[in-house]
Formats: sequence, C-alpha cells, structure tokens
Amino acid sequence: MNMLMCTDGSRCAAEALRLGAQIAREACDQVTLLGVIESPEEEHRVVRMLERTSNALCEDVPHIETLIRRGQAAEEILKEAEENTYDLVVAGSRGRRGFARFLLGSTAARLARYCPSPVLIVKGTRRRIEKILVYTGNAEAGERTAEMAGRIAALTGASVTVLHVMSQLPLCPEADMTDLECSSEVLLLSDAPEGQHLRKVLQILERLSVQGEAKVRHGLVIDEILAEARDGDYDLIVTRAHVASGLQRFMLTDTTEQIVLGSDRPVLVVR
Amino acid sequence: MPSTAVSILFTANARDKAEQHRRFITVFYLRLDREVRGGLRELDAASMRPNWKKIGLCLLSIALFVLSIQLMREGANVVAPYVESWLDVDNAANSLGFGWLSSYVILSGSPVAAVSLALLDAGIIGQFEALTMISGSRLGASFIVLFIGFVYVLRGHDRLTGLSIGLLSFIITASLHLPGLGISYLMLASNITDSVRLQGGAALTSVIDLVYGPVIRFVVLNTPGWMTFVIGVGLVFISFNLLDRALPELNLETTQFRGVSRVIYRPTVMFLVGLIVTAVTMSVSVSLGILVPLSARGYIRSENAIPYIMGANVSTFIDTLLVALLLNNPLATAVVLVQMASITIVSLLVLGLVYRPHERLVLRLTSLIGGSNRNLLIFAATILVTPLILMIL
Repeated sequence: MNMLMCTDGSRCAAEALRLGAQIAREACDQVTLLGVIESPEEEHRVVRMLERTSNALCEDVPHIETLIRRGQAAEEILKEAEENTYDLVVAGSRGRRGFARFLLGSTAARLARYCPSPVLIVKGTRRRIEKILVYTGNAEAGERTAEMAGRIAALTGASVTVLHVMSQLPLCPEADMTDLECSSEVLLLSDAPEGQHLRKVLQILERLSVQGEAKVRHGLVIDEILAEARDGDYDLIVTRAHVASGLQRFMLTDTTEQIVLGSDRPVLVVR
Repeated sequence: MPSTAVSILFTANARDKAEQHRRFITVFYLRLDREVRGGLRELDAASMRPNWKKIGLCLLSIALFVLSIQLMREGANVVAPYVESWLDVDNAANSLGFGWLSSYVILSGSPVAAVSLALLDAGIIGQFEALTMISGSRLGASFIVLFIGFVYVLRGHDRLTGLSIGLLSFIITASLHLPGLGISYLMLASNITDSVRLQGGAALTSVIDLVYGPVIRFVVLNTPGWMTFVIGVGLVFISFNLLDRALPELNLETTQFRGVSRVIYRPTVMFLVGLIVTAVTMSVSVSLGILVPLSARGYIRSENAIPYIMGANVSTFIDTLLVALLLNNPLATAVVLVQMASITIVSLLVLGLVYRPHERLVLRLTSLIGGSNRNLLIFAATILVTPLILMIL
C-alpha cells in the first residue's frame, strides 16, 4: 500500500499522523509524508512533526519520502494526490464550525469531495481502530466501500458493522410496510434490494476473513449514522464518496460531506 | 451509448488532439441524434394524441369556476346578514376557525378560500378575517389527506401506512401557516401591499360580463339572493373536482426524480419541485399523489417529502389568486399575495436557518402522534375542537 500522510503542523494533524502510522506499520511498503506550510511561522513545527513521524515509522516501513509544500492545506494535498497515485490519503480535520466554516470552508469537506484516492479524515483522539462502522448507501459503488473497510479491518483486527438506514415513509396505504419496519435479520433473509445488498457486503467481509454484522436503523440518514457511531463508540466510519456529475451534482445532497462535517471521529471516504 | 464513441477515441489516440476532439464530438452528436430519433419513433403514437375528454373537462371546469365566482359575488351581499348573525364571523380568530371547519365539512380547502374572498369583496369580512379564513382553509385541506388515512386505518390498513403522509402534511402546513399568519398580519397592517395592487382589469371584467352576463342575470332574477350564493359555492366545488379529473397524468418516472425513494435530494431542489408541481396541478393532494409512481414501492424518503410539502404550501394559493383576479378586487388580491409572500418567507427562513431542527421536529411529532391509538385520538380531538373553540372566541 502506498500512503500519503499529511500535516500542517496543527494538533489535529498530529492525531492524523498517529492513526495513519498505525495503518502504515501494518500495511504500507511506501509512505509519503507531506507537510503543508500555510504561514512561515508554522514551518518549524511542520518540519519537526515530519521528522518525528518519519523516525517512528522507519523501522516498519521500507520507503519513506518527505515532501514540503507551501500554500493552502486542502489545495496542496489535492495537488499532491492528483499528481501521484496513492492507495490512501490521511489528513486531520480542524473541525471549524459555524461562521469560521462558512468563511474559510472546510479542508475535510474539500478533501472528501475532490480527493481522487480514498481519504481518511481524522477527528478526535483515537489511538486504535477496533470497531468500524460502514455506510454503503445501498449502492453498487458501496461494495468497494465495504471492501476497503474490510481491508482496514483485516489489518487492524477490527470488527465491522454495516449500517443501513431506512428514512422512507409510506406514501400511500398500499405501500408494503414489511421492508420499512423490518430488522436487519429479517432484511437479510428477504429479497428486498436492501437485503440483497447487505448480503453481498457481508460476503465481501467474510471473504476478507473479517467479522461483520448488519444493522438497520430507522430515521433521517445523517442523524442515524452519526447516532450509531456515537452509540456504538466506533473508532472509524467508512463511507463512499459523493460521486455525482452534471445536473445530479446540483440536485443531490452530499451525504458524505455531512457525515464528515458532523462526525466527531475519523471518517474514511472511499472513491 | 459509449461503445462507438470509445472505439473512435482509441483509434484516434495516435492522431493530433484537435482531430481526436473533432471526431469524438461528431460521433457523439451522430449517436445522440440516432438515440433521440429512435426514441421518438418508439413513443406510443396514442400518447401523442390529445385527450379531448380531458381537454373538454378542463375547459368546462374553468368555465364553471369563473361562473361560480361571479354568482358568489352577486349573492354575497344578500347572505351578509345571515353570515353576520348566524356565524358571527367578526374577528380573525373565528374566521380562522370558520375556514378550518368549513374545509372539513366539504373536504376541500380551495372552495372555502374562494368563499372568503367573495365575502371580503362584499364587505362582509375584512382583510384580516379573509386572511385567517384562507389559512384555516389550508389547515382544513391538509386534514383531508389525513382523513383519507383515517378511513384506510378503519378499513384495517396499518396505522403508520395510512397516516404518515397525512400527518406530515398537516404538521408542515401548520408549522408554516401559523408563523406565516403573524408576518401576513404585519404586512397588511403596514400597508406594504398598497403599491402592489394587481387587478384583473377592465378588459377581463367586460369579457366576463359579455360571456356570463345572461346566465348570471337569469340566476339572479329567478332565485333568491342566498340561493345565488349557494349555487356559486356549489359550482366552485364542482369546478375544482372537475379540474382534478382533467389534470394530465404527469409521468415523472423518466426524469431525474425517478429514484425519489432511493436517493436524497437537496432540500431546495425538492422545495422547488413541490412548488412547481403544485402550481401546475393547483392541488396539494394531486401533487402528493404524483410522488407515488415515482417510487416503485410506494415510499418516499422523509428528507425528500418535507421540503416538497413546504414548496406545495407556497403555490397552493395559485387558484385563490385567480379568484381574487376574477373578482377584480385589489384588497382580495393583496390578501392572497401577502399570504403567498409570508409562507414563502417562513419557508425560506426554515430552509436557510433551521432546516434540520424543523425536519427533526416534524418527524418526531409525526411518529409521536402516529405511535399509539391514544395519541392519535388526542390529536384528532384537538384538531376537531380547536376550530370550534376559535369560532366561539
């Protein structure tokens, strides 16, 4: 695995490097450490952080490369990810909220939307990945998301929960309520598209020798994903990137961005 | 589609970029042209033929609608004393209750809104009373979807299946109209509408007089005044029913919205769709019904339904605006415009500032009310008793 680990010298970036290092030790034969310097006074801190991480990884990772870029963090990370091919990009999130986010934008949201590689956006202070929550959005593209989650779980020994959220309401009295009200066990046995998808995802996890289970929640999609992540105290949320083009980009809600912005724990966005 | 285009791209790889681009564009358009022409050929010829029955129904409903407004206008002066003494509609609270309750009785909101404007035109009620009566009619109208749900529940359907969309519709309508009333009141009180006084115009009035004059004179001369008003109310009710039947069966399954139960649309997009579809169909229940075929299994995502119903609440006033224009009364037009503006303002504030909390609140209330027979009974009693209490205030 070829991984890009990014830092801008901030505390959240330090957390990202720590969590990234855990994955790198298990799986990477090449790691690129990218330091982004947004203002001259940060240079010393960024360089020190890169040195520390490089020293910590040098025994376990055969090839470590260190790069420095100057400019806005999100833009420089995206440039690097576009110019070279990486299997995983790891970056921290400053967690800007309210007016600051409105004014400055969110680095995490930009990476989630535009990064060509899977990107792990680290929030909070997680030291280990033991429980992974996967939200595939009941889409075919979600199978790749499950596979990525399975690979991370296989490396870290984590268990995986695949979440499906039913936010639908019956429009007419003829609507069949069995699909809307059923549990994950019933859904897995059913021929409903959701059941078929969950079965497929669990098969993917089984193939990777990962312990997986399916869970169904009822309510608003974003609320339920974030609630499940909190209730189950998961260490990582894995979701697929919002890939929409043309008119759809304008019409569809970017659920991935909302998960990234609303979550208080690391989120892996798979493209 | 890409099979031809992609093969051309591969053979063209060795040539210069301009040539590659030109050939790709040529193939793309040739292909597109073939697809479109092929698609058109496959269209069922019958679907291209005009449905004369529906066109006839539509024209008849419009003709009856115009006639009904004129008859109500003629009869309103005669029923004024009855309304004033029997119904005691003399303040904004009891006109709200009156509009609300009347919509329950006739199972439709639009005729009640039309009556309120006719009463305003005759000087029986003031602008504020007309405003609240129209709001009452919208609350009553949203109850109708719920009432149909109740009937289904009584016939043995699952409670949640029958009532979800009706409860959602009622709660959203109430959440927009109640704050909207305050804004409407402030707008009317500040005479902000004085500068925007839209009227049907003298030309429209003279055309209506020319076409409908003989019929109206015949009814006025041969029936008591109150009967003229009652015939007018009856005709407006019939005309709305005919219009519902005359509406084309919109097929949105081939549009971007075919996966309405699968994906989550932006709230503003669904708000605009609800607004446009309801403006075209002039009926919230019809525009909600249009959602059913969009979802193969009869579901809609809550995230999509809420902004759609919000949009529908703005354009549901289109038919009432038509009534005001037909009455050629600037005060009536001002009332409808103020109401549309205030619901738009409240909707935009909700969409822009408190969309997520509003969404959660609406859904929590829906599941709380629909969660048990006891809660449902309390809710049903509340929405029946509230307009009665308002009427005696």
